[in-house]
Amino acid sequence: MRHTTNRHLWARLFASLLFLFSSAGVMAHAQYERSDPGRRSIVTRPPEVIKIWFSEQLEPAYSTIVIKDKVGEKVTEEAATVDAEDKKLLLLNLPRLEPGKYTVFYKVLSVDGHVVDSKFKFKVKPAKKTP
Amino acid sequence: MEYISHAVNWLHACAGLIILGTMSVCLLSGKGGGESTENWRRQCIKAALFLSIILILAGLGLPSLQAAFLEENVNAAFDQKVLEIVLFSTRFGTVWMIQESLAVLIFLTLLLHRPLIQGIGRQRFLILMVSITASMLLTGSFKSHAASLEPMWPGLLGNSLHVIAAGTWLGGLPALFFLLRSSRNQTEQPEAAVIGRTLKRFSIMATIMVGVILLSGIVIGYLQVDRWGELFSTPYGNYLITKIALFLMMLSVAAVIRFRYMPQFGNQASTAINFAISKWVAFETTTGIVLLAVASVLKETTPASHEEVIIWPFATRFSIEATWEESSDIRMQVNIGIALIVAAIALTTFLIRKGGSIKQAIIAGTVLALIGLGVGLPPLGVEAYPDTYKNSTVPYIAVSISNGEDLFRENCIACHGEGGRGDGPLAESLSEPPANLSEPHTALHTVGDMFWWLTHGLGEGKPMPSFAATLDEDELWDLINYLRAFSEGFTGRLLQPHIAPELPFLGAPDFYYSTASKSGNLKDLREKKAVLLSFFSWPEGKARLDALKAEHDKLTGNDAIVMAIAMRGGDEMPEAVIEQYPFLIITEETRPITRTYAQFRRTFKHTGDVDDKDLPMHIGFTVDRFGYLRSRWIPEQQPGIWDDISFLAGQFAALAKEDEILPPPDEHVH
Repeated sequence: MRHTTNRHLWARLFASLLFLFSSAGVMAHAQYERSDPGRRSIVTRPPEVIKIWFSEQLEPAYSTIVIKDKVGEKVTEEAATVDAEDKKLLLLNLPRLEPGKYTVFYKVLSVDGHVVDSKFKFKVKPAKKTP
Repeated sequence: MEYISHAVNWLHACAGLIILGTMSVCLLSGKGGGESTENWRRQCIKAALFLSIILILAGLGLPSLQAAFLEENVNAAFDQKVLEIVLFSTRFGTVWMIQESLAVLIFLTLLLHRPLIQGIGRQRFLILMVSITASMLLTGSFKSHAASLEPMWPGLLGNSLHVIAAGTWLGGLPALFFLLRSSRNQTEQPEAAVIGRTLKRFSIMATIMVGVILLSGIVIGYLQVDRWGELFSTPYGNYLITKIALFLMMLSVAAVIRFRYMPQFGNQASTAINFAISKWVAFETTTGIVLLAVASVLKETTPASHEEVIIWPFATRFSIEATWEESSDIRMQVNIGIALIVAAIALTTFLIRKGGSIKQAIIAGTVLALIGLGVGLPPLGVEAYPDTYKNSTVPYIAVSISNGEDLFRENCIACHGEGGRGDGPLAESLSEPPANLSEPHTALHTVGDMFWWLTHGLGEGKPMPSFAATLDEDELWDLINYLRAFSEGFTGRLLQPHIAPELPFLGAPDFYYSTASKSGNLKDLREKKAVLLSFFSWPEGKARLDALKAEHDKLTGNDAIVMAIAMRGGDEMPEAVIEQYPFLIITEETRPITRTYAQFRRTFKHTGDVDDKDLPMHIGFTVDRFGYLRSRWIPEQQPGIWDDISFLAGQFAALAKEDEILPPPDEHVH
């Protein structure tokens, strides 16, 4: 009877440690995975829409993108939307962008209730002159 | 606000778990007993009713706290519009409404306990209560991190079972305490029978819950734990260690009850023993409640794996992967250490089974285990720095690697040499030889170690200076990304024109492209398509592009696509010509991509060193659908092989049949 009890105790000790350790990463954030235009990219064809993929599903109500030009003016007042099929993809339609440098500010809320905000830049360069 | 949030979450967790535990213990107590146990049962229901009010009230505060947290503004807690969004447009709101409705149901069920018990019987009533409370707690998993994992169910199941298991054990302790103190005349039947039965059943239930905790812990741990080093280097980790200490304290108390008092309880039931046990249970309960407070703080603390400020407090870290391959002596020493620890467990078990003193057995085992640790652990030690576990803020992508190469040329080649082999013009004048950066990337140094060296230098008396004044943080990470690609380029010498089946070993760095008609990232194809990356020179590569065009259908028949990237002459390629090809041809801003993948041109014969650095006219790579570089073809060095498109198509067919694997390690460089 005694050895059974000991087994229980050891099992309990191990399990408890695991229980505690397992909480180490229980909460995470929706991390930037990739985007179009990419971070620090240089494009000739101005993007019509900006797409940012994250590591987790997003809450549409609290996920935003703001794009500013080099003087800090917003290029659009339109709101970002989460893609209907891919809940990790945040989209924002853009007006025609003039050549120049742009900064993309994003703030997203993942479905586990955590917020991430950051930014990246891209550049639209003038189109090649055709003879 | 932060403290209020922690307090509300703590109250909510305590109330829910204790209701579940209390109802479970009442259920376990079964029927019968005297007046004092009946009184205890009534008190349990009253206590649960009181707790259900706390549950509802604490729950009512949660949306406001979430609103304030999301808006980063205390006033948002009372802003109707924000609250509407939180409640009706987020998953938090949906889950909260279900949980709060269930909390009200718990309250109403407890309020109507008399007619319900009369109608369906007490045991059924208790089963109903356990079911509703467990459902309320399980629902919470849908707004935990587990719910955002893919696939969702393993994490969700693990998290749910974890909560239930913790609730029935920890939450049941207060009820157990009051049962033990329910009567001053417990040597008499029927009170003693009820207490004995309940303790026995609680013990069995706790054992079952241990199994559940063990399995669910393994699942959650496997899915979510990142690096153990973060335990000591972040606030999150520190809270977690506090939680571990509290938990160990609880288990020590449980051990005292089990080994010191339960045997006595078995021989002769007495009020004195019950009261003695109850004191320990009270201590265990108090510890558990403090533990739940720490857990509530943890819930709202930035997770270690996403913490930006990570400061490792020790000069050493332990790493098996960094040291295991270093020498056979290390392996032998570690194995001896493990053997001693196993022997310690065996010795302790043997001595206890033999019927000797438990205390002596534990002391003997502990001494032997400590000797084992003393022998086995030091060889696993690796030098560490405050930034050892720092997370990179710049992804491992072509544009970063390319910029890192420029920074390397500007800042590093004087000492490390143009080829990175530690043979720069200043190398001989230095007090210590500069590192050979071409050596394979090992786990011996983390990216955080490199970041520390670049920002602080190698230390007093060492020639490597600090670059903190000349490079900003992004540039430092660019340099580190380049050094990784540079080092992996040497590993890439193993790449052949044919794939090694089921043996991926080298990640393909991601890159962004933009053409006149399309834009995107290599990673967009992850888990969808394998890729033939064909780096070409224009116009010399026209024949190759034409060959790929002619056999395009055959080539892409096995979930593969072709991407042609101009290494040279891309600007000279007319748009009309590009449009003639049925696959993607990238000619704009290809320099970062070309420079990155040029790292993987090295072969054992053509080293890619300073005296052999010219790029070939063409290089082809296959990238499998999980993001690994699997084969490479350089026509000038291996003529003919991939000219046979059937051979290439066969390679893609083989890749398509391979089982799913994890993406390349350190893709999210930490």
